[in-house]
Amino acid sequence: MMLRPRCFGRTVLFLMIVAGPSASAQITSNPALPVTRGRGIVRVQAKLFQASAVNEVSDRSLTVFSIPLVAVYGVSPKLAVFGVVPVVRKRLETTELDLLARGDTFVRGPTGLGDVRVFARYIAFQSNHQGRTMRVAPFAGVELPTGRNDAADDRGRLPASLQLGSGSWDPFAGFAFTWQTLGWQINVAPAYQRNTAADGFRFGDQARVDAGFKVRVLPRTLGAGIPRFLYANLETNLIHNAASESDDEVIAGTGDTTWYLGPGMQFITQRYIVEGAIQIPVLQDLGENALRRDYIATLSVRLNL
Amino acid sequence: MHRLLAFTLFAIALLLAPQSEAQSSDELPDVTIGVDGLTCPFCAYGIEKKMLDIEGVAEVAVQLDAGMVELWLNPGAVVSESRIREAVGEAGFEVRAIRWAAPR
Repeated sequence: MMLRPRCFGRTVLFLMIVAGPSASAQITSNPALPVTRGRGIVRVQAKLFQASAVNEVSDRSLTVFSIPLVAVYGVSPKLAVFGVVPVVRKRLETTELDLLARGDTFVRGPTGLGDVRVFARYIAFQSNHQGRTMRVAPFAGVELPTGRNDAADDRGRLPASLQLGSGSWDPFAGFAFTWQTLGWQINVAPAYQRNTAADGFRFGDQARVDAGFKVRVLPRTLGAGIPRFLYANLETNLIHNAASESDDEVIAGTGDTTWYLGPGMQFITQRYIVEGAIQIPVLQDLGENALRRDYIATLSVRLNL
Repeated sequence: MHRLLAFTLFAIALLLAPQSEAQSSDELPDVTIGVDGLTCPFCAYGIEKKMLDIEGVAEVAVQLDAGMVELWLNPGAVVSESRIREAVGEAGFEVRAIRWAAPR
């Protein structure tokens, strides 16, 4: 059965690499908190995306394992630049269920460098008081066609959603609103990505809103110095992918909307952050034959340089 | 998936011993700076580094709950208020107040 191009590949990649490693960021989105001028932050994530679908013809299971490497540099107290380099492994396992090919299972999918993202974020508004801050930071950047979009195996060229990259230059923009105190943080970040065409194929544009709330659970009271914090997080991601196009014709059955809820935890020290989250889709509006999202699991370490 | 979850819980359990960092000197600080916008430990790293970049600063202690940064200076060192404000600004925060231990 031919796998139609779906947008889950782009959704996965965007979810994997949109989260900037700025100071005390949410786990799955980008906050408006500052990066010290002349200093940097690095973040290493391990992300596991799982989706599946069973119908009368086939049983399919998609596993995408990604390690986005993120580096941030503070150009000024308000301006930070980000670079995200994802190493991606995709595996689509398909078991044919029709009478002639019952039990025939094959696996397809590449491993390698995905599309690199570079962007800048500028704190346009801030209101600071003792133990609290509120900031608004627009960001804009581009996803570069560094991942292969022409991988093939013995069954032929892989579908677009299984490729490591899109082959196209795709700009994106949004803004982050962060309101943080010593006890909790609220973060909201809407964004839009315009996907351009490559080799006659174009993924649909993506619009999304990421939001999160976290509360400090330990220590219960703050003493002298800089205590280590343990946060309990609840994040949410609402993502809409428009329909994909082939040679300017809309591909029927593509396009989707997914709403994730993501509980997680962060352990934060002065020098590093260790965090983990699990994103569960609570609502999915998918095209026919699309794979249903099962979950996205994230484990991440951030380091102040 | 289970291994990922188990590792996460294990890592949190190992690190679940909140301790203060950057303990201050026994002597009273030479300069005490009230800083606005300081809201988490990870943020405090940058301001500590910027304070140590100031010529004449020997030691820095950040008091996160009080929103203060304490400086101990080298003997005979002179640090200007403008330099302190510049360093706090470069870290992404704002100066609320500056108090000097000795008259200037």
